Amino acid sequence: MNDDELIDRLRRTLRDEATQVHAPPDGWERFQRRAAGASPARSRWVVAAPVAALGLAAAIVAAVLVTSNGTSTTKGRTELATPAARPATTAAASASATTAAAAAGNAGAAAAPAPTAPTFAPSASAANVPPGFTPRSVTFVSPTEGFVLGASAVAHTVDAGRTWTALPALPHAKVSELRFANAHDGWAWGPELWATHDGGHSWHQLTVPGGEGGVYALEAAAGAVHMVVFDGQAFRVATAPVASDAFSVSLGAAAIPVGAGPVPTVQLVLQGRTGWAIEVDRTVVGGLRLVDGAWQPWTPPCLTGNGPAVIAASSATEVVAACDEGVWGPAPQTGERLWVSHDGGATFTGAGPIPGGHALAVASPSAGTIVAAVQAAGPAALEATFDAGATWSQVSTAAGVDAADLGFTTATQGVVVFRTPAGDGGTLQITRDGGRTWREVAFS
Amino acid sequence: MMSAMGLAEPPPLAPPRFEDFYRAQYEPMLRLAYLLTGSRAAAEDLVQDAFIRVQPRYPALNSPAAYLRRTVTNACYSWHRRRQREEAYRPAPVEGAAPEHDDVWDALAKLAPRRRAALVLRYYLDLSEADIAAALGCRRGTVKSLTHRGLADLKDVLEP
Repeated sequence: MNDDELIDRLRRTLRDEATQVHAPPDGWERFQRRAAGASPARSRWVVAAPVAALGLAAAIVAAVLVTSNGTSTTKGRTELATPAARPATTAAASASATTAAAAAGNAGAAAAPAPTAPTFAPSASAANVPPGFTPRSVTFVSPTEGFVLGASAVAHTVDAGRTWTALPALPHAKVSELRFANAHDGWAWGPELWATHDGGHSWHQLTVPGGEGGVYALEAAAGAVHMVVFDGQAFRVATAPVASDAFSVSLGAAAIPVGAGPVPTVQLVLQGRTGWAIEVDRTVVGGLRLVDGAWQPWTPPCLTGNGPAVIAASSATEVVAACDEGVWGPAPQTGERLWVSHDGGATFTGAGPIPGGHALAVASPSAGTIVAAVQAAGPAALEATFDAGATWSQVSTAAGVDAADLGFTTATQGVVVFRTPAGDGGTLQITRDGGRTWREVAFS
Repeated sequence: MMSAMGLAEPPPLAPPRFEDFYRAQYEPMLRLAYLLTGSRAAAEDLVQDAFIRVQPRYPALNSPAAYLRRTVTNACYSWHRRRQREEAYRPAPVEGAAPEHDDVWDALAKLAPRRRAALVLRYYLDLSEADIAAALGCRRGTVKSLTHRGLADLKDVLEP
């Protein structure tokens, strides 16, 4: 690794870590209480200086006390090795915490928030996840904090899935997917659209901007939330700052026409202020690309492959596509193949077949490492390559015929939900070694 | 007051109220402190304390943001020293229970605090050498050295 690569990785790590930290909305009030409770700042420090040696001695005495009872009481600042479950009330939103810049590039029709009628805000007290909890959709906002949508609750973890508490479910909402941009701002959708800005303790329904037919895809990154909607003639992207409900719909050429198939689906992939949207309706129909915060037309991979495709990106330049070629065209059906791009999706080159059946989803935590959720006749499985498609191995299987939300939070940690179409079954699996091994997550 | 052109001169810009300053700087400082300590709880404590220290001086400060940044950086450095003293008496952490981060973040935690601070100020805040020197209270040459050695340490940890 040369210095430039090291610095690039360092910048990315620092930015990723920093964006996980948000100011609590009551920070000023806390400050006032703290300032009022403390002796005047000056006197506190002035007094401390002459008795530094005494202070040091006191620190040592306090530290010795730590060993005597196993729990540090030193100023209450010592952190436990195991992160304690954070009280729900400390998760807090800050509108200013998120950058709205990503949304600025789209000159669009302000389809204004329709924060609307129904709202739901039951008790915010932490509770155990109900027995039989069935995961439907998962979203992690940091290596440690994640949310899982189930029929009976939204499960919340702050220790990377080791323990879970239950947030209120959305009992009257018709939703099947969940995304959070950070610890506070989240959306549940499909077909309805609901939003929370207090970490899932209360939700309100939004009118889908621009739209007929609900939300087709939704992702958030770089302080902006993007959702694909259908305006009656074409698919467009509606964008808003994450702390806001004010969506603007992309206009002009930033639209994907409707395909010829009966069931259109759209996949959205974001990497910071870069992103890709690909519509599949039996075959790949069209795409959009987010460049520096603005959506513009994009020729997606596999457009002439006569089959569906799924995509993933590990950076703004490294994009992969799994294309099921020849499904709807003339024979022969050539099967699932991997395509890779090193220029942000401008050009793709073939990288060989993907084993295991049809690709349901694909994810790539780093260049050359690709995990594909595949399904043939039996249960779904995860196939992985760590050499850019030269060789593949099956790394996991699970009951269920659909794989949702396959993705990586870091280069090593990723998740996937295997679920049945009827919603009566589902399992969440997590990897902590870059996709080599996966294990099922228990919610009890 | 009227200018030579007969137009009313705009009043001098008043500094923002301390509350506005706090609200604008709180989250950036929280993030900086987190990157310097690796602990959210400590970051919150240290930043609140830093604001308490800055508040009485605020009206007289020419560059309150730079002063606050230096205060926070120093507080984090002191936190590391205090922690090192306490470390000898702390029970061993529970294996396997630590939250997961990427390897660069883990490597950063192994760096000497001042080298870590130099890297954070340079590559997260994109500060100039002069500004980093002001924040760390050292010479610009020292900043060069801290940054260079910090990167070398980071590489050593990542590629032993």
